[in-house]
Amino acid sequence: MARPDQLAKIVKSQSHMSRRRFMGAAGVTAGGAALLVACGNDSDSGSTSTTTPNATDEPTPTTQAPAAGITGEVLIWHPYSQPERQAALQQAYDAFTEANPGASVTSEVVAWGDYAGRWAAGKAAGELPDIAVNIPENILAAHTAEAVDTEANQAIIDAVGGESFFADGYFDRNGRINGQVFNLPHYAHNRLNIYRQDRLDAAGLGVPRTMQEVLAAAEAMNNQPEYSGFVQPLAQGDVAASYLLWIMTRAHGGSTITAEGESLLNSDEVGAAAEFLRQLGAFGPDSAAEISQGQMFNLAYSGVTSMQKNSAAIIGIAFTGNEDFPQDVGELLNGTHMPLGPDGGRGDLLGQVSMTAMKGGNAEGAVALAQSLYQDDNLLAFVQSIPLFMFPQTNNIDLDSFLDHPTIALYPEVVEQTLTGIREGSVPGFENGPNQFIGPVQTSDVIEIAMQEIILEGRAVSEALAEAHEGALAVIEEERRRIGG
Amino acid sequence: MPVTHPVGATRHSKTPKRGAVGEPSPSSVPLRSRAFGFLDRHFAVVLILPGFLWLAGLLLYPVGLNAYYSFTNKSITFPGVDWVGFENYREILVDGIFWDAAINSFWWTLLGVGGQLVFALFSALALERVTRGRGLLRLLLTLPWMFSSVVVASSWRLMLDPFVGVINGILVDVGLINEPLSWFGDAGRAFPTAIALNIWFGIPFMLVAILAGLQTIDRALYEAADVDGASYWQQVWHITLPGLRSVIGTLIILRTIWVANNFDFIFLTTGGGPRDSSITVPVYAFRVGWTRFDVGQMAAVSMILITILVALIGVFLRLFPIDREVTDG
Repeated sequence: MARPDQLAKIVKSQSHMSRRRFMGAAGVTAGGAALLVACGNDSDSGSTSTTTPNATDEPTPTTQAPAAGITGEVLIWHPYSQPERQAALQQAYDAFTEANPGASVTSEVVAWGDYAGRWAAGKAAGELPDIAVNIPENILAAHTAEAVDTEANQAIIDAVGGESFFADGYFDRNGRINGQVFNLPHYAHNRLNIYRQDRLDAAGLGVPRTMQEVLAAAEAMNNQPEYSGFVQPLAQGDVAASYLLWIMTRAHGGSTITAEGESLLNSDEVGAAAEFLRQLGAFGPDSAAEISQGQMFNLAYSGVTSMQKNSAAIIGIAFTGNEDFPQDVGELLNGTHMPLGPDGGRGDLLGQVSMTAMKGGNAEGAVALAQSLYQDDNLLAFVQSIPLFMFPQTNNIDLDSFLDHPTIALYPEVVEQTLTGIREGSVPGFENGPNQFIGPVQTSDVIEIAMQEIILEGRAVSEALAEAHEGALAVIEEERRRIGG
Repeated sequence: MPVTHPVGATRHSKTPKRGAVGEPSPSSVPLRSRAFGFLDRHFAVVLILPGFLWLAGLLLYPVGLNAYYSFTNKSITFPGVDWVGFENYREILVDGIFWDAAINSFWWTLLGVGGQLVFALFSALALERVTRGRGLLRLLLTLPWMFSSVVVASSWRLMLDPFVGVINGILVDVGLINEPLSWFGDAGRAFPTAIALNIWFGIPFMLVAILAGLQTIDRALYEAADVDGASYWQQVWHITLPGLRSVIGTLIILRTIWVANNFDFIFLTTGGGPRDSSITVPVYAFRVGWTRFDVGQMAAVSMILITILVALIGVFLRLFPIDREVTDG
């Protein structure tokens, strides 16, 4: 038996070797782990919902022809959280995966307002989607950051038969900048004055069309704190107040920004629009500063609003069986155009929902999936999933068959005013084509703060707008400095 | 039996000094042997190195990168990065909204941490005197901490909603207010309401820590004080508070860091509004970074906040020596 001192020497001797062995083993282990990680990189990452062509694990028969067409995952971000719209999208996904057995679709709901942060984070992390759905103002910022795949967008246009497939003049108005297509239309709607028909009838008033009629209706249908005559969502971090000011400015024949990016917030037209909204604000809630556009559906269905700016979706949703929006309340709502200006001018704020190919790494998949989304039956199913709201922007949908939907047929004025707005209106700030300055100005909160001061604090319109104008100038200057304009 | 070394020396012999007769010169020793020799001599360092590098990567890299970005015009929206020196810092320091945010952050942190500490301390002292149902009470009092901040903020928004909020309903029913109030939509009310919410949320953490601290105080001190005729509040002042000094110091330091950096409560309740009345520095940084996509300026705001916090924690560490036992009572 070894003595303790001998044992210590032996252990020391062995430890001399074991350190080297340890290092060697560590090296082998690290190398092996790296190899395993490298081999495992092909696995799919987690997703919200994935559609694959083969639901079972059965092996593919060797006699089957090799999978043709698109392969790999196609990631789509869209803001459609409603089950009805998701079901309609699924129809297009299924058609896509059936035609491309080697491909799968991963569909993630990214809320309207979250898109700006998500694409920015996705770009930084190299995790952009292949297709994204949002509004042109937001997509334009992504395009400026070179996150949009304009070549893939052009390929989609070519695949569906050219620009004539889409609504006339769409790309010049909303989708093309510096010769590059940065978005394609998915559907369109218009912002309307949505009113409670029952309260209007009770007040003995007709459909309010002019500014004076709207003010009178708001006063007659105002019974606070139970319900308000006209609710203006003025929350910061939202663009609803900017939209409302733009609509009324257009009704006065002006705009909030020029094509060259000059702020017009100190113009007479904007001042007149703000003055009207100030008067209208007297029939709104004191809590308007904490109300955002996203809350307006719930406020309407809880009876808090008598009038509000919204799309006809607020009516159509009641006919989808969604228990949060009961049909008996929805049937009390109706809509017309936003208040006309003093000379009968209209402010039609086009709700142009668009899709775009982004640099997600599967451009071929993006083109093929977009084709499937634009396919006649898939698109018709989608635009009718919330009736009265989503109007097609492509020429492959027969408008008569679209309008024959029983719910849509119930609201002829809503349809007429929506179609007029789609035809004559524009995305805010896009009156002369895409404008990359409007997005930063609208999201800077300068207009929201000014309208809060005017409506809730009683600040003079001219003072508040002068300050907003200065703020907008700073934002535009920064934007211009960055793009070298 | 001595172990024979391959070169003839015995292992139990004293290791010859470098350069001694018979030892090969360093240049003649193979590189591999020299490398292994180095590893043998510094084996502990080799073992520590991966962990150190990992920690350095986690801590130093982001802070260093942030510091670098703060001197550039890096933007998510625009490609390319240029060195701009102190321009980001200059722009921030001349921005009035930043100073509003800084002042709000000061009050947010002071009132938030102070309020949490006072309520938690008195709650803990009260709980110590409860003899029945103490466990249940402790559980109930720690409930707020069990929920995520998103759930807490959303729930409070709903409860304080001017249209459907239950709190407005109760206050109207008992006659404290005539009509529902806009808690988060009024410029004079939004920030205090958010501070109150933050205090409510943070009390449980402090409460649990103080309760644990109370258990470490020698009961004999209280018995001796009783014998000497000291009142309850005299005991609290002369025994309990000194005994809790290190616990309270740790809590103040930790909560100051957390509360000053807190973003979610303000963002989820008021969004910094109305009219920027409740904006704090983290919300300001978020706006700069994720609304304007100006990473350079966002990094500069973060560096300013880090600098202030480091200075503040340095002061706290001198005031509350948390790493040594207090023996002077």
